[in-house]
Amino acid sequence: MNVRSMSYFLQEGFRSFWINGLMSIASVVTVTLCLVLFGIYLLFSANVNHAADQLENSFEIRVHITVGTPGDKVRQIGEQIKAIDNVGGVVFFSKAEAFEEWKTQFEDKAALLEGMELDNPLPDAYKVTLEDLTAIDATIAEINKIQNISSVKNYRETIDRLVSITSVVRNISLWFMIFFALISVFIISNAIRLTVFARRREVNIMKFVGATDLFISLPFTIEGIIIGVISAILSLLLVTEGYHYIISYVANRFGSDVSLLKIRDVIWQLIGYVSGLGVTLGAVGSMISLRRHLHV
Amino acid sequence: MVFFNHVTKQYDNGIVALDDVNFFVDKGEFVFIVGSSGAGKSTITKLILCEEHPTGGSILINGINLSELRHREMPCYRRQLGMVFQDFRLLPNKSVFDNIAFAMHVRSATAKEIRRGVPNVLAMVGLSAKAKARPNQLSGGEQQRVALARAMVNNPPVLIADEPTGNLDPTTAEGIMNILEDINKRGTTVITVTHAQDHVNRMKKRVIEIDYGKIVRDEIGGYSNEC
Repeated sequence: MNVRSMSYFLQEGFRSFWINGLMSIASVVTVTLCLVLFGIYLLFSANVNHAADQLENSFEIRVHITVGTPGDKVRQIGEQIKAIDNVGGVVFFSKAEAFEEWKTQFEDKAALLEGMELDNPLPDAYKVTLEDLTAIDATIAEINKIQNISSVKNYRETIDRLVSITSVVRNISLWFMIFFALISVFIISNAIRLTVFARRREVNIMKFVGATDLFISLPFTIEGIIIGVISAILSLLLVTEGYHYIISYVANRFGSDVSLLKIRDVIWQLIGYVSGLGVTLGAVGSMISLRRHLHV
Repeated sequence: MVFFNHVTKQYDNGIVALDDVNFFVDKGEFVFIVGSSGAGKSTITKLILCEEHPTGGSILINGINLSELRHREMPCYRRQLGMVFQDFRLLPNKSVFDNIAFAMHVRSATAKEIRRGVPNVLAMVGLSAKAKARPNQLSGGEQQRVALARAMVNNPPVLIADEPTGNLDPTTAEGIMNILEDINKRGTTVITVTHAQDHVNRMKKRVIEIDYGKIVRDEIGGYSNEC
């Protein structure tokens, strides 16, 4: 295939898209709707993952150091914890900070604690975040091996619940994606099949004139890609505009309690996946739909 | 050029459309294939086009044994045939010029060859003025002339016309037959499957008559024995 025939195929693809007017519009509308739903799923999924990551990252265990451990030893313990696998971050939490935290927890009864700061009974501690919460037991066992550690507060039940909730949400969104992808493929391949069926006579004529399968299918494939690209652009515009609206609605309604991903955080992922899916479905859909009409 | 060697065609439903058919058409001949409806005439064109395959015997077209033809060799083989059908089979979304140019594109003709070749064949069939028209803007006779121009644009050695005048009035049909005769005079082998008795009788060419799948007559003359 040379440049001349490629320019012929491109020209034919665009011409065919233009000439098939209503059928092309119908295909673009169908594919756009599918891609909009796919875009919504992508944003939903990205936000669920973002929220799950935030929860996991903000979760910490607290490693209490035996009261009376000298300062340089405390720093050494911090280094030892950092060196353990699966430890994400280590922040020193002094007994004075612990006491302040205690006071805020007591709120109106904080007066009862007055004077105690002189003989603060709370231990120094390290706040430790983990990279993978599911491996918490092994990590705690490693931490416990370090000397001068009095206790590790691990909130086991909370972690279990968190891990199970995030994995359920991720599983549901995965199944949702699979289900949705199948629906999209079904709808799009049917839309293209209708187009090809309407033009099967044309395909037959081309065969009888001596056109090869590739010669016949390339303009259809290019037409499918054009449909995919236009649909991707339209759906990206719709999805990003809609997402802007949702972000501002959520910000007004819930303030800073709920934080959604900014559009700039997901835009390239969105463009990549939506355009990729649009082009692939357009091209593959037209090729699959053509196959049965090519064997004449 | 065209050789049917003991060709039998039985369809899946059991109907025997051709039964031990033998004929040879030489280079430059003009042959009519005639017979009543269901006699097996159209099966002959389907076999030549490889739309159907014989259940017995062999077919040689221009030295190519169709039984040995692979699917990927089919386009190249079909480019050696000019085909004209009763229903014209023009691409509805293309202009007259583009319909003819399509046949040149499939054999990778250059733009220059197309610019020169298409007007030549359009002039041959008398449709130079209609190059930009769409098929649905043409009469039946004009559409058939476009089909003839498309069939001839690549100078095929053989032209097969399947009921080329079936949908046309007598005067227009005569014009089409005259063009077929002109094409034959230029050296192209022409095989015409037809019901058009008047034209067959007038032209006095070789006639192969098929009845119930068998050749019952093969001679120069009219549509039937009495002519």
